[in-house]
Amino acid sequence: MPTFNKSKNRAEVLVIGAGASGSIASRYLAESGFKVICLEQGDFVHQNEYYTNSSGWEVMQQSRWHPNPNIRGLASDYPINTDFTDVNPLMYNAVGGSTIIYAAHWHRFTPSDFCTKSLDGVGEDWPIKYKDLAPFYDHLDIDMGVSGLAGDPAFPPGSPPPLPPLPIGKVGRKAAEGMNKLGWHWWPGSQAIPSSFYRGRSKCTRRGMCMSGCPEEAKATMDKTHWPDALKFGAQIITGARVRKITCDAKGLASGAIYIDRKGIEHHQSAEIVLVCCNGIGTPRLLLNSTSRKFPDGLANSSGMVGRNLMMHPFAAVVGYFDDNLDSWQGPNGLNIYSMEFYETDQNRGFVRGARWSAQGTGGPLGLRSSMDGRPIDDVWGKAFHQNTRKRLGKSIEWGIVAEDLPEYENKVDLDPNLKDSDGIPAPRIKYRNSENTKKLISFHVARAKEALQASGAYELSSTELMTDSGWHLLGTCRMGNDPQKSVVDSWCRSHDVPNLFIVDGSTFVTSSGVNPTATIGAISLRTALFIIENRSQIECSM
Amino acid sequence: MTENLTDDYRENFVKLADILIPEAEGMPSASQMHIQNDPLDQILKLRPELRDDLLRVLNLGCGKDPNLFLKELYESDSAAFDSLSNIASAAYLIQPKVHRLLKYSGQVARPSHDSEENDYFRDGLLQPVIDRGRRYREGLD
Repeated sequence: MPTFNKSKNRAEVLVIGAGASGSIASRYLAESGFKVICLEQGDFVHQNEYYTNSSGWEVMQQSRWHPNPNIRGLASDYPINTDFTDVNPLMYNAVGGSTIIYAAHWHRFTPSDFCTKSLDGVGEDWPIKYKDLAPFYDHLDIDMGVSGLAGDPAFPPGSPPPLPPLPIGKVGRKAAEGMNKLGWHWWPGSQAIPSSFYRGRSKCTRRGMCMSGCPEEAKATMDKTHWPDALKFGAQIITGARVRKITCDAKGLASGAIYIDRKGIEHHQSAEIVLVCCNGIGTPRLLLNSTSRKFPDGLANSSGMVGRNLMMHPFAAVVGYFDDNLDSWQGPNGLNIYSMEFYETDQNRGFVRGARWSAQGTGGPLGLRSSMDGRPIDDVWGKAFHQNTRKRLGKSIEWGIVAEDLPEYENKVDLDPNLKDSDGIPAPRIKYRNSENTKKLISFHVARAKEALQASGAYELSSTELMTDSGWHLLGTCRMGNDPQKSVVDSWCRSHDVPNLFIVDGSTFVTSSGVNPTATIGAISLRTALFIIENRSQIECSM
Repeated sequence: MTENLTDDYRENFVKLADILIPEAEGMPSASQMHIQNDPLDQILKLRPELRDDLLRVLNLGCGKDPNLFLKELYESDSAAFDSLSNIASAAYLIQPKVHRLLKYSGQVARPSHDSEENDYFRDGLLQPVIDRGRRYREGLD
């Protein structure tokens, strides 16, 4: 029987989740003198947990370092019902969150991403614009040590990244040659991976192991970029702390959270302000689990929008095979060059919105072999095993396509009626289907990517129109907006219903864009942290 | 963990593995790379959760024609087939000798050289993109 410990150590700001957004908020709030306590269900990942040995690395990518928590099944993970989804959600639960295993693609939204309703008649407009986030993008570029090349004509002019781009490599050059033949846009990759020594982090050595943790301590992960300073400024972090419920007082103000430690003991952490930073799956799960007499449908859910409009960026891939050696197992992982050629809407295509492409290598031999799973036995095994390995290893390029999926009311996160995590807390259930617009968008982009690789000289192509394990970007399930009946938080990420409750992760996204979202998640978090700092005295708190 | 993998189990494992990974295309077979010995132990040490499925497969296949058994397994029990094939391919592809034959250097550190940086400016590769000019759409400011 768990005991219940009421903490006397009251936080001014309780941050739930130490991923990208929680880490940034914790660091800046602590620097401003706030007493910050962060609850994180995972742990710090120690450097010796990463594999530097190629053999072990590839094997463990299929289990311990798999991005799908249902496969990984660590103590810090919770199960997710994925019976009703086209795409599996991916994440990592630890200090640093999914930045531990992201590829560190660092992209801003474009101005049109904030107003799809006005420009294209789909989705909703954001209550903020590109110019509102621009200074925070600039600030985080410095924090993260972004490597990139200024002047990309696909984005508004802005401050240059602090570091020059990583080399585009043989893969990038070959892909770029094809794009130039077609007159299509491309640009050297933009990554939160330093191209030279930066603030105590190593220069990238291009091992290509980014997505199972960087063994070089180069890639920007929040446990290294923000937590050292956050702790120095006095923030406290409690790891192995799984939050069961956000509590409220009689006035309906957030008063703290109940969490369960690894020994199964329940604690109550009291707080004046609560920030929820658990990603687009974990945040609606926690709010829906935080029912009370005053909030029977879940906290901050008077609109009924908590959990709705899940977006995950369905991912398609086209691979080209070449005669030349391209060292296509070499890093950085996932992005040598990118293209925004078909990013903006062209109504003549029969769909709206677009996608960013990333040209990348195809990894090591075991991963390439696993990508053949599900095909006919004679296509994969026997003589074909060797033929496939020789054909693909080191000699293939992938154009990855990050498709902008639009908010759909029926795509949602709710609570599974039966499934529970190891602490007995109801687990999330995902319902997610690609819309007709998304299907048309992906088909168009796959066809163009094939043309691009043929122009680069590929002698053979293969493609996947929807990769099942690709739900890296968990967005939209607590959207921001000015109308309390259609959104969960306001433009400062404050709950319409609970004035001392803030949500600052990807769940606040109104639309998804077609680029990797961590830069925008971080910019929103930093903007909200500064709002709290500047308006502290006006925020009504639980006493 | 692997003490119960007797010589008979290992022999049966490599018979099946040789069908999945035969000698062909200038590459050795699974048995020529002795994957039933240390490599198998290495994989099961890294991924102990696969062991039960492997033993189940080996028990099911005992005494059966390996070719027919594999096809039957592929059709009727894909999880077991995937465990077997994942173990066999991992035990084969982790070996340095196989890497050498494939000319695969592994995921080694290769810091960039000055000559690689900004090479697209030196040969003008990026210039056409710059020359085409702006391509983003304005928002509603």
